[in-house]
Amino acid sequence: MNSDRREFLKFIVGGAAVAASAAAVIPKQEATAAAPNDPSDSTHRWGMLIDLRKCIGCQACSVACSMENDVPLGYHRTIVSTYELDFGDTARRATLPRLCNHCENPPCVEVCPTQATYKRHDGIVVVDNEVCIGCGYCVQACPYDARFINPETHTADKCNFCVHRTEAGLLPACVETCVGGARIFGDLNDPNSEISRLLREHSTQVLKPEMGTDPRVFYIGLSEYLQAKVNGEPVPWTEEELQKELAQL
Amino acid sequence: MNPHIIEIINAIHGIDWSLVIPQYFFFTGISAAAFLISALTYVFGDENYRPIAKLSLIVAFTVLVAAPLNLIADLGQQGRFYSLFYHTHATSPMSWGSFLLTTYPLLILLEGIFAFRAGFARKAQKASGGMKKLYTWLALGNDQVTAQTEKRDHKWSYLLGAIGIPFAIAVHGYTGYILGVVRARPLWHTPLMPITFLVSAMVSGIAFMLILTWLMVRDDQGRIPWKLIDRLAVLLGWTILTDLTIRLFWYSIGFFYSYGSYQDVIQFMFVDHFVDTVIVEMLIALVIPAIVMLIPALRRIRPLLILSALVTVAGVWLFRWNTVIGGQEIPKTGAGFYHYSPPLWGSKGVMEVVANWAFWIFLFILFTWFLPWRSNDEMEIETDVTEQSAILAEGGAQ
Repeated sequence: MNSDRREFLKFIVGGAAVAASAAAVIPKQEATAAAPNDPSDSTHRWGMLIDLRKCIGCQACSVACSMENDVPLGYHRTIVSTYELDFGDTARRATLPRLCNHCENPPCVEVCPTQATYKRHDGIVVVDNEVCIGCGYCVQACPYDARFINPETHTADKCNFCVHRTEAGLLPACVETCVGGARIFGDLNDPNSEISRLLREHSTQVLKPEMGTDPRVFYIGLSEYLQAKVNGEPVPWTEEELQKELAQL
Repeated sequence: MNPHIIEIINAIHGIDWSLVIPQYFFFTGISAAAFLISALTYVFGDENYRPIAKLSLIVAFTVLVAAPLNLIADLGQQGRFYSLFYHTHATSPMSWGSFLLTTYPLLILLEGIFAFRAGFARKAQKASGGMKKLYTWLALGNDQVTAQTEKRDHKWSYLLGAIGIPFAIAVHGYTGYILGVVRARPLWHTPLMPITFLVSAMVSGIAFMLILTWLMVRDDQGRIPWKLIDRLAVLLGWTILTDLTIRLFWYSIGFFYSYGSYQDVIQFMFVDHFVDTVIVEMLIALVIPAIVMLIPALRRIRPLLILSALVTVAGVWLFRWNTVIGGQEIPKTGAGFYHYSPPLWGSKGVMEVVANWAFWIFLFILFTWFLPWRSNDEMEIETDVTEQSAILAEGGAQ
């Protein structure tokens, strides 16, 4: 950061001033800015497969994630959206664990004005919360509602595949805790990994494929009517009510 | 068969861009329009608009000083706003904005120096002591107004005005771009967004200048310049018709030929929010004012003309609200729609917008008080008279 700041000061003092249009500045920054803190390399490409046939909607993953990552109350890096599907004569429960899709073409990254959020070489999309200014542009751009502005850090927050755990060779907290073994995490570049094998053997789906984001979170057994914005009756509470409840805790 | 779906558990993702963002979009729009009105005189040489050319420059500058404060207010980490200048990103419209929002007001400032120079020179001739020094300095060290200085001032205000036009368009156009690139939000994701923002900015800006002309500009006889106001009204009428035409393209293609997620927009805008969008925003604030502006008999009912202009300005604010807040009230994954009402006080509250208006009004009063913006010399004659009577009174006392 300091070298950036020094460069910035040089730029100002050098009298080039702001009039030396944006175009002159941007390409120079582009060259140096690609993930300065990224320790990863592209030998691995991390991804997740969620086998909805095994998900029982227990929310153990949501709880484990919140505890592991100290997610503030009322916010979620992952949540198991749960639906009642009424077919007229029959009804069934559907669960849909949601998290950051670590897209191949992440729309959140391209709109970030400060490059605080970027895709690592191993495909994990992360936020540098020391650079993030909390403008919320990435929150708007994410088609999957995976991001939020953390009320404690005042910066963008989201699932990062528990990067501190995966770098140490551990599984993400949600995968580790999943009761039914519905969440499978692994290296998509390794043809012998369990996730690669399952992706070969099963027909899989992704959320909102029409967005062209090329997600790296796949599902087995995802119904098409849950793939995009759900067309149905909303949860019977509002954000305001939720905040009131939380304030009382 | 598609089942009837009831959402039982899901996270709620509320409104992240609060109502200061519509306010920001509204103000940059006013700035762009006011600048273009001043360019009618300075660049295109249309003398009809000269009485408000300087006033338009003042409006263009002052709203653009107040506008970015909204952006900073809406950041999570407000203290880091300046890092936008050295952490840049070529693919992010917000990053372009940081440079537009600094370059464009500097251009207006430079143009203003030449546009106001002659006025300051005349003030310097009449002033004495420290004020004379200040006015002379502001008149670029020369308190004379000659054919030569006039020619130079015109040349520079022409040149800077001409350079300013694409910047004025860009500084508001990019705000439409900010929304247009977000493909996750079906209400925003249209290539028409920058265009519709620009045209509605012209609508609000012309109406705004019309009201300010009515409030502040007087001709040599001290009368309201209705001829100029009528000219602005006709311009406003045609701009509103352009706005409505673009809306027609946008909504009709969205309604009849769009992909699935746009159908949520139709339900949200034209069914659930029918009164806000169709009745108030389009019928009352666009169609009816356009009729008033374009039919001379209606336009001559002066209270109706001024009221219509006011309603138009408010309507464009409502359009900004309906777009920015409305776009976020359509959940990306959740069922149904969100409902948002901002708090009155505190962060992201209504008072932030009120405070921003108050700050602009303060700047506007300050600038119009200090700068010689009136095209006739009436004000200077008035001060001459008061100065003379003060001198006479002093003489009498002695």
